[in-house]
Amino acid sequence: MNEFGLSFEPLFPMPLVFGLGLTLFVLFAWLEVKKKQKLIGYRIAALFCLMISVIGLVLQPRVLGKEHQQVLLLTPGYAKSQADSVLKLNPDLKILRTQSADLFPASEELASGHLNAVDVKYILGAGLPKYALDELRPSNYVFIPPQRTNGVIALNLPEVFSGRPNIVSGVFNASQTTKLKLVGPAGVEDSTVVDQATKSFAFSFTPKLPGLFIYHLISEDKAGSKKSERLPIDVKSPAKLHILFLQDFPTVEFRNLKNFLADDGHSVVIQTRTSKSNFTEEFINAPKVSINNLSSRLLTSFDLLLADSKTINRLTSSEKSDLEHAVQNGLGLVLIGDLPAKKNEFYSIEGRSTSTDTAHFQINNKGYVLPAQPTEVTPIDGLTSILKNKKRTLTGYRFLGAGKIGFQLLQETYRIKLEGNGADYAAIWSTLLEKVSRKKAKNFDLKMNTFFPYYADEPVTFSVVSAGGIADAFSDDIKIPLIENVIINDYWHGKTWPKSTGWHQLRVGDSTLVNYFVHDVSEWTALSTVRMSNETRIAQFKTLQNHSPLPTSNPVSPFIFYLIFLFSAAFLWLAPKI
Amino acid sequence: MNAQQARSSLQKLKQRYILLRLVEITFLSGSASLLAFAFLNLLSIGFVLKISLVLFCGIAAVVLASFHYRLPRLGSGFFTGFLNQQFPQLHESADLLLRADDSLSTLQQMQKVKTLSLLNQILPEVKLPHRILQSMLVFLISVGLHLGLSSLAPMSHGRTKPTGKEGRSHDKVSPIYIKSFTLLISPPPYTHVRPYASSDLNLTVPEGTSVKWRVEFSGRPSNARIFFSGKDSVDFSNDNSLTYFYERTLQGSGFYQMQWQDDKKVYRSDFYKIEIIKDLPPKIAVKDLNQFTKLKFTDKLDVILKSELTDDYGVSDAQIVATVSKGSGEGVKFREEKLRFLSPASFVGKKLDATRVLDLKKLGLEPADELYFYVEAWDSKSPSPNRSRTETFFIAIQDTAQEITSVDAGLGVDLMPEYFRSQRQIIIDTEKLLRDKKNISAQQFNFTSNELGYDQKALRLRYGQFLGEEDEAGIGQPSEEQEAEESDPLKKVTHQHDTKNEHNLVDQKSKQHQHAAEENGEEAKNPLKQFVHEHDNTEEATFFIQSLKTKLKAAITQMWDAELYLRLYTPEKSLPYQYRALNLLKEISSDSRIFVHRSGFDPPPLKEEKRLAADLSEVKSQSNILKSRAEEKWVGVRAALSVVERMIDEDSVTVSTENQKTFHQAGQELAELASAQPLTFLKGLSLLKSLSEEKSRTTKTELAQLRAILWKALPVRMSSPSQRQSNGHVLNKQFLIHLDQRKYE
Repeated sequence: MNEFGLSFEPLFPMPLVFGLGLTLFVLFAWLEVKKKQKLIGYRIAALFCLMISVIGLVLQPRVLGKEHQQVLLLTPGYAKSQADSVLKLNPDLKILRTQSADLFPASEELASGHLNAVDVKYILGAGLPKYALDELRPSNYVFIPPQRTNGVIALNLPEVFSGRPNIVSGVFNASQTTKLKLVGPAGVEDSTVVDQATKSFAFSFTPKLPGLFIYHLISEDKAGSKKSERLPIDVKSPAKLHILFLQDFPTVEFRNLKNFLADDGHSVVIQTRTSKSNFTEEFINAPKVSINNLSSRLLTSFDLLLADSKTINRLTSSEKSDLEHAVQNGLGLVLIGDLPAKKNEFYSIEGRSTSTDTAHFQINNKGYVLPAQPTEVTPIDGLTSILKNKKRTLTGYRFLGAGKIGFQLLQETYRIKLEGNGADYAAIWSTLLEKVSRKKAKNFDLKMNTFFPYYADEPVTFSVVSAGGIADAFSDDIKIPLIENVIINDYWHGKTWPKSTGWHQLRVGDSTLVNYFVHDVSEWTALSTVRMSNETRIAQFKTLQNHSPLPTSNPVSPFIFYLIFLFSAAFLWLAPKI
Repeated sequence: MNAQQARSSLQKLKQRYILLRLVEITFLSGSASLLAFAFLNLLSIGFVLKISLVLFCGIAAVVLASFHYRLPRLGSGFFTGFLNQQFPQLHESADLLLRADDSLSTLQQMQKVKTLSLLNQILPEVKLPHRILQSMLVFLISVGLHLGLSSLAPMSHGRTKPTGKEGRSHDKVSPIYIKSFTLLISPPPYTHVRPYASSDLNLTVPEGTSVKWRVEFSGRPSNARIFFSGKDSVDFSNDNSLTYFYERTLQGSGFYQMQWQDDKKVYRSDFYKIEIIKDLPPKIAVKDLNQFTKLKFTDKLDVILKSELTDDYGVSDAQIVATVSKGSGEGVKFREEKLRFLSPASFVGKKLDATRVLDLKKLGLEPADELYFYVEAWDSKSPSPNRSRTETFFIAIQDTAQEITSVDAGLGVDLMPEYFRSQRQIIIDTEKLLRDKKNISAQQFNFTSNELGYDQKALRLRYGQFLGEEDEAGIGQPSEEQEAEESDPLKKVTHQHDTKNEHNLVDQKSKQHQHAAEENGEEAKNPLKQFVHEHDNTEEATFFIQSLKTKLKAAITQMWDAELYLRLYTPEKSLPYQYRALNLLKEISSDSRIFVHRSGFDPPPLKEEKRLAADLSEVKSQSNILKSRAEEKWVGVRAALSVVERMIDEDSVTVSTENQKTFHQAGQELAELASAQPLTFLKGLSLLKSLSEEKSRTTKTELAQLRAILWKALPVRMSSPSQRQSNGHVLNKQFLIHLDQRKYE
């Protein structure tokens, strides 16, 4: 809009139209002059009007209106009755609808790029996706979502690892009793029945192999209507740990734990004291190194140290100092057996003695009774419980710098394994060791900001946190430009537009990557609808800052230009005859 | 046209002529070969000779015709002569075209120019001589003759040599395939299933079934064999026809594949499963009876035992094994009896109801006694029937004897076990003797002490029997008096026990002795018998487990010492030994009953001399480097699964050569599982085989099936910890630093 309140919607590029118009005007004027017609001045004026009228018809000018017009935006799934009601209350509303919304009388289709040029007062239906809402001009619109949508309306898909039970959970909206099944490569993994309501579900599955797999979430209602939706699972292989065992004497507990970890490919180094000055060393999946002295260098090469308190107590002061330093820098230390008696050591766990030397606890809804250290750990700040019963914490850890110090009060846990409950034994130890062990430092962290499901030709946004290096992001080997956050250093944002359905990959640096699956728009409709509704609902409360009323413009009637053209042409025809 | 162009045109004419003649010769040669083949077919000559002769005829025809038409020696002069002959207007001057202008006279040169101009007009009209049409006709006639003669050939061939080598040469034309097959399945007789023929190559048959494969091939394969579970291969037998046989009695599940070959190729059938239905042991259900039943002696002591016996093919026999446990303390005694069911009279059928009334009084049960019994049954499987048994049931009669003892202590009714009383009685008598020492004479004292020593010896001998010792072990020749004493009390104890109760050593022992007594007649034949006792090692020939035996040995040792001091007239010294012996016997008696049906771990004895000796000379520092092999298993299956998943994802149905190798490796790994569980994995093995060997394309359904089977093949592993990752962003580090600072503030 210019200072004269004029704006144009040209059918052809404006310079071209003006250039052509001026050229034609000069040409015709020269011809008029050359012919030495009568009323030459009037004829040139008429010619000018004629050209102006033609240019006006092509440029379609609009003039600034006095009042701006508010808009009712119809999105997919809107109820016509609701739209009628809104229009009854606000008859002056302009009606716009998105491309995928149903037709409505007197509605115009929302053109690309017009979202920031309209003053949306009402949004009916599923709403707008996040990327469209970002385009929307800030306004306090009223959002009226659609009726309840049947299907999966929420889905939580955590990181999935092979060889361990993983949970995919969500919420399902059912209008009638519906059976839900999670089908994996080998068949049904888990199933549940959802009543005629909104109900949460959780499916457990244990992938046997890392890789990219397509599971299916199948819903079948009472009437026999069946719907299958593809659930892409990126199964990751558990990263192996480097673990050091130090024990004052050989025990069955340590031996079983060692076998459990070594069988799964972890690198395990064990030093067992067999007499005062004799030690047995085992290097499983690990190269032989000297472990006679717990130096900083040695400890840096391990992710986790498991030791009994006697071994810790007999360390030299320099070894203790190195160990403390290593824990401060991320090493995990797990104390097995008696907790250290000394309270002022860095590895001390605050607690008091109890008379109970057994513990009743539950793992995976199964009850167990095992011998346990007669110690009640004091629940101080910073102490995190992993396994606890009604009376006390049995397994847990506390922070020390970047590292953690864990403890295991349960004894003879191998009994659980020998009883055939290997999964429960694994649950007791895996959680503790995983939480306490050193985290592997990554140069880049890649996080998807757009949530599942992803569709073709829709933007997928992500953020990258760098540990100092400059991030190079690639989407399917095509380099993506990143924008660094204005306030936070090394925090980048990027956006990509997947073009086809199927697996795609985002990669930052050499090894940080995220695989994501692009669905067809006919899949996960309920989930995307609910997600859009939620995002639209959140965006409606955006406050208007520095917002001036949106000026409206009215198109200049082409009839005027037509009349000008008609009169000019008529004058030019009649003038020689006058 | 100049002279050069003319020569070129003549060269082209030559090439055209040779081509025409070659076509003509080819037809003629073909005709000769066909006719030769047809005629030779009528003769009974070898295939190689026949082919050689046919080739010779064909080549001969080519050579003869070529020489006939002088093709090898064809020069340009031939064509100039031909032109001169065919076109008189050339005035025999065509030869001039081949000659250089220098060698021509002026007139010849003028004639050459004229000929050149004429040649231009003539060339399109030139028709080279050939007999293609005629030779083609000859060829067609030869084809007709060949077909006519060939149709005669098989008749003469069949009449002359029905199974000769020519038959095989005919077979080579088409691959050999299985025309028909039949499986004659003969289940074991005890199943009462009649032998039957099956046309299904997948077998689901009872254990021990004999299967005879009868396979008819379209030809005579050179090496027909059958592979069992991918390992064991056997050749089919053949009775000189096209039908091959093999018979095998199947004992375990697995799969098989047939293989045969002709001269060109080795053919393999699909994999077929062998699923063995195991003959299950009989099932026995005891009805209306609790596992632990306690009765009063005044109750009706008839217990009705109803058992339901079921088996998949038939129950052949059943019985009740009852053990009566009497006594308590050290005098616990067992007697085992095998009782037959009263109904049915004979065991025939798959489901039977067997009944027996257990008359506890008849079984000799008295108050405080217990009856342990179980039902065992056998099915009709041969050669070794399956046996099963129930849990042990307990029927106890409440002990009223203790009450009688306490209430009527003065009646002198001694219901306590004899052994226990014996040792206690000796102690009581010894103490009484010591109390009476002052009141009796020294002679009387010594006599009584000696008598007690004798009692102690008798008691020791009884326990020595328990331990497998000889009756007279270590005490030299027994006196008649001693023998008389021993015979009475020992007989009562030793011969009451049963023969087959493993804990009833007394009865076993007595049986052995009875057996020895029966064989007395044979002793004359073998004079050493009376000097050599043919027991096993006396140390080991007992029925007690190690710890009980040790206690018993210790008790006997104490009895030895007790007897010694009694015989030395120093009963006061004997008493401590007697008490120790009594205590040990008490311990044994309290243990004895629970050993009736117990089996447990008996640890090896500790080496006392090494224990707590602080000898660390053999303890040395060790260092071992190991590698777990868990990751190396199922590599092929994992790789194949990844390939299949990728193919499904990419909608690809084409199997590349590389993927075929992967499938082949997976097939080798899966074969191991398929032989153990053919029902689950055989289909997958077939798919892998077809994908790795034959097919380069597959279907999505097959891929989905294969994926499911491969997934099942992978073992479930216990979840182990995974190293987590974190980003070393400067804010994370600052957070930790500030957190630590806050902690110490």
